[in-house]
Amino acid sequence: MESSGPRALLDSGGSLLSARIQRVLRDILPRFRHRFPALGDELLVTEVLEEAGRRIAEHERGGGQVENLDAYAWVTVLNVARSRLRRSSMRLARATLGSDEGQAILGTLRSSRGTPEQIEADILLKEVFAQLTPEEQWLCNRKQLGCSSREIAGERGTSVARVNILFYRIKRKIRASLCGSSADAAVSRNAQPSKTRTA
Amino acid sequence: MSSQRRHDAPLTIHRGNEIDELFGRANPNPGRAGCPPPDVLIALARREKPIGDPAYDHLSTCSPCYVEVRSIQEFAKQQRRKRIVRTVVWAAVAGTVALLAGAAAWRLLS
Repeated sequence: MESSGPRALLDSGGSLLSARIQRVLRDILPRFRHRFPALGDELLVTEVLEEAGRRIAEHERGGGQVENLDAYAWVTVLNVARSRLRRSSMRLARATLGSDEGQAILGTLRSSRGTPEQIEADILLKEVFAQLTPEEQWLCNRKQLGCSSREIAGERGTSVARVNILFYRIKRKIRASLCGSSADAAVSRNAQPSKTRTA
Repeated sequence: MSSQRRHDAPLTIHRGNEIDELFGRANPNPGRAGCPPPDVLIALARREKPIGDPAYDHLSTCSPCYVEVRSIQEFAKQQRRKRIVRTVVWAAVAGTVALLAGAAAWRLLS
């Protein structure tokens, strides 16, 4: 529920602003709320209006009564509100989404985890891994962790050349399985729409 | 607690390496069953254990541990690279300063 606005606007000394200024500022209030929906806090609105009222009063003390007070007050209120919005605390408030807006935006975002492509890739990797023999897994494991062919050959009682050849073949096998499967998947994906068209 | 921390470890292994990709994703172990403690993983990453140590074999059956060990290795490699670059830059700066100082001294003396 929207309140009817501040009951009394005060100057810096704590006394009431003139009735004329108060009336003009109250008349501005609906327009002001419409223009600055982010300034929903009642206290903040009152502070803006009081600050504007003080400035108007100050101006009138120095230069006499303002003729078109409505327009002058509106411009003053706009200036005060804008300078308030530039403050760091208000910047954060403006940049923060409410829970409803946040939910709406989160609902439109696409997850990068657990996507069909990722699940498909995980299944493919499991299948390719299952094709490796324990010996091949052992060799890949040690090689990837930085063991040299000489160390591996020494541990397995074989030659360095044999280790290198075996590792090369494993890499080729993995690459072929991954590339072949992804090519198959691409072919089946491309073939599917034409099937439905012919059917 | 430590297993939760390890589970959240960023995947920083080098992309484009099929074997890393395979070992790092083919064996998800969400419950981290049978995983060794972090100090063992660090020792494996630094290759402080002998090549025949059975702790290495766990990495073939647990992708999170494999990723963690490879991440530690990649991080260490990056640090080493940075250290080398820093040393080279400092050597270049020192050489330039020495050259300038030598040139100034030579000019003063002559």
